[in-house]
Amino acid sequence: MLEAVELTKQFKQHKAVNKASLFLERGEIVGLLGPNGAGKSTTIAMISTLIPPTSGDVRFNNESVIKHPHKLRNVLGVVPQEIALYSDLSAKENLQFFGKIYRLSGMELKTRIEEVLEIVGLTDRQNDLVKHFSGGMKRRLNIGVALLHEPKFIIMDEPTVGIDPQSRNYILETVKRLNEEKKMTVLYTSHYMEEVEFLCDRIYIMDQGHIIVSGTKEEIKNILSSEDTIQIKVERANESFIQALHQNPIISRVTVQDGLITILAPKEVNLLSTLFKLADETKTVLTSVEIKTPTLEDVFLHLTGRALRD
Amino acid sequence: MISPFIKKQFLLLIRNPQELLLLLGMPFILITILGFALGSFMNNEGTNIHAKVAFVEHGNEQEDFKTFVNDVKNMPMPVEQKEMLVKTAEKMLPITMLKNDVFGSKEIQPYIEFVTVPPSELDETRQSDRYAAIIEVPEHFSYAFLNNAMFGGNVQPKLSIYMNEGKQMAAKLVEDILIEFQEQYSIFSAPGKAGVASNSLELPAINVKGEMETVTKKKPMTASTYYTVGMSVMFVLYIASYIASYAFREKQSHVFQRILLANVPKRAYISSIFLTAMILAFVQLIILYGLAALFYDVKWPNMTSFLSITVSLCFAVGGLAVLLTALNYRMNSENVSIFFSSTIVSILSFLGGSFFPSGQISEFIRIVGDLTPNGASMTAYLKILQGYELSAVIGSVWYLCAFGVVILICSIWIFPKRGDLS
Ligand SMILES: Nc1ncnc2c1ncn2[C@@H]1O[C@H](COP(=O)(O)OP(=O)(O)OP(=O)(O)O)[C@@H](O)[C@H]1O
Ligand SMILES: [Mg+2]
Repeated sequence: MLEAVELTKQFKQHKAVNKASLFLERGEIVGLLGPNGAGKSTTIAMISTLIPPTSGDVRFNNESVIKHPHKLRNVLGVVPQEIALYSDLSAKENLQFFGKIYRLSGMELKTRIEEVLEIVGLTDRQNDLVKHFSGGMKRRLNIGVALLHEPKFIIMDEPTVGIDPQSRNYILETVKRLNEEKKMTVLYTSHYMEEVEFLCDRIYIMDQGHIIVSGTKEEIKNILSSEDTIQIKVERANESFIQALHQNPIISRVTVQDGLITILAPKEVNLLSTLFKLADETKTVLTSVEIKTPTLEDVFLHLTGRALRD
Repeated sequence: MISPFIKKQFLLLIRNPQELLLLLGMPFILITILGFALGSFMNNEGTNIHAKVAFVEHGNEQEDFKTFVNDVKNMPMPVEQKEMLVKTAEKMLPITMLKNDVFGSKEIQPYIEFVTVPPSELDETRQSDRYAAIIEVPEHFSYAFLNNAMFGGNVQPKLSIYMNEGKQMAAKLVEDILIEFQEQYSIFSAPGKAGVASNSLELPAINVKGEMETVTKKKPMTASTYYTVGMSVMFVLYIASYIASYAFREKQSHVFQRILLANVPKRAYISSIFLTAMILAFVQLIILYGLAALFYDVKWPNMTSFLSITVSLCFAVGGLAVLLTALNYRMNSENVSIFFSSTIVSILSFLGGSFFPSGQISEFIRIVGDLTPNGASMTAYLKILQGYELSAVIGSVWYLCAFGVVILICSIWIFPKRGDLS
């Protein structure tokens, strides 16, 4: 088991990570979610032994890794947020270099390289220079390099930023497969809710250096279970209708954006009949009414009052 | 553990034509340009050269000639033959010819000023920097010469010539003139030989052998040779900044994090930088000197000495590469290696004498220049090219090795600890 205990990182004036605790159980995919600058990468760097925490501890099988990082490093693969590759080398040459510094050689290295190329779908392009790769291909190779030494844990820092939807799906499927087939434990960092919802069993949400909430998808969404989110479209925007919504005591929040009206209200009340009544009174024609299940996005909004992405 | 690093850097270098141009193309072009520009300056625009040649005569040629004539008179041979011998000898007087026909000729006069110096002032003359060359004529030189020429005695008369290392071009000119003289003389002496042939007297080819000894024991050299060494020791310094810049970009692109995560110890990474720089420097120097040998006839009289200096220079370059890398990492910017390649290399090269023999400007520059790795190796290389033994430059070889080791140790200390690496 890999565990971070009250990790804190202070950069001069700025506290990038503040008492963040999290753990990874064998075989899980855990999501670390947060907006830009939340402190995700810094947390990951501490967990993967690249920078020492200002305070707190990282424990692997109940041993601190801060003084003795070797054991963890041997079983850990890290996919950095940046493309950490030699762009003037080919995919294969990159894999050869990184494989060799992981002390692989000979046939073993050769088969590992073939396997990795297969996993990330770059077998056909292995001899092309990385600088001639598309963004998605670079991302895939960036992941591939971290898989060479068959790590048991893999930490991925936003492995899908800035790439096309196909590549993104490919990567998500790959992560799922690695987890299911190779029993890899994954810590997956992202600021895309839908990726984390798709992949992860458990989720940590981070904001401004703090982990503000954690748990399974369901547990987290249950934070919002006491309220319904209803989205309404109207034929013609009507001030008196909006006014009426605002004034209604059972509706807790009303927002209007691009003709789309979103309202929040407690679950128990029969909101729909109230809505139709108000529409009738203000002579408003409703074109659609939708009751939405809450997303993690909504949870983040609820907890911080801000959207996850600007 | 280290070989993948070296292999990777070679691949990266050969895929980067710009770097190759800087490390190999530029120095070769500069050797060519400087070699030609200053080489032709030596041959055609000789008026710019004004050399003073000191002539030190221990004996007196007229006396020698009289002694020779006396000897001949007492020889048991026909009178006509004696007369012919004396007549031939009179035309062959070497010092007179050297003074009047060679250095006194109107072709050579504009370049060379011929000054007779009394033997008592020889030492003083050797110390002074006024003369490009000193020609020392030993006592009874002409007598020995005539005997040798006419009767084939086994004593070869020798002229001693001292060259001034500081006036290489002028000294070279004097040397060329003397060699020319030597060659022409043997042709000139041929009719004399024919004249006495009936009497079965063998006339040996001229044997005036300029015994090369110089004020500080240096042979003069061509501009191509000088700049081959100058440019090579200058451009090898760029290996250090190239490697250091690349290493820093490894940090920036987070490749270095991967290296750390692979449990590569810090000292292995540093060693890989050191060795990569060293090997690249070696390959670069071998290619440059190889090309110079091929195209400009810069030949090494002693391979062991050449390799000793080259390897020790590469050692120093390896040290510099690690130092620049450590500073780049420490300052968290590429600026240190950029500053080195844009400014420091030029200063070091100036001090070391890559552009011109700057050590002649002042004693201070000479001493400081010899402390730079390029300057120390340049001095050593030039000495070897002038025929010195390895023992004469072994100090520089050790100095370069020590330089490399000391800055390697400093760099390990400067290199940031794990905590400061991000
Ligand atoms: N080496 C550093 N020195 C000073 N401040 C830093 C350093 N590294 C990160 N920070 C700061 O710490 C905060 C958290 O950064 P971090 O990179 O961990 O965020 P993140 O959640 O990964 O963001 P993103 O989604 O943009 O990658 C930011 O405000 C960042 O500016
Ligand atoms: Mg980040």
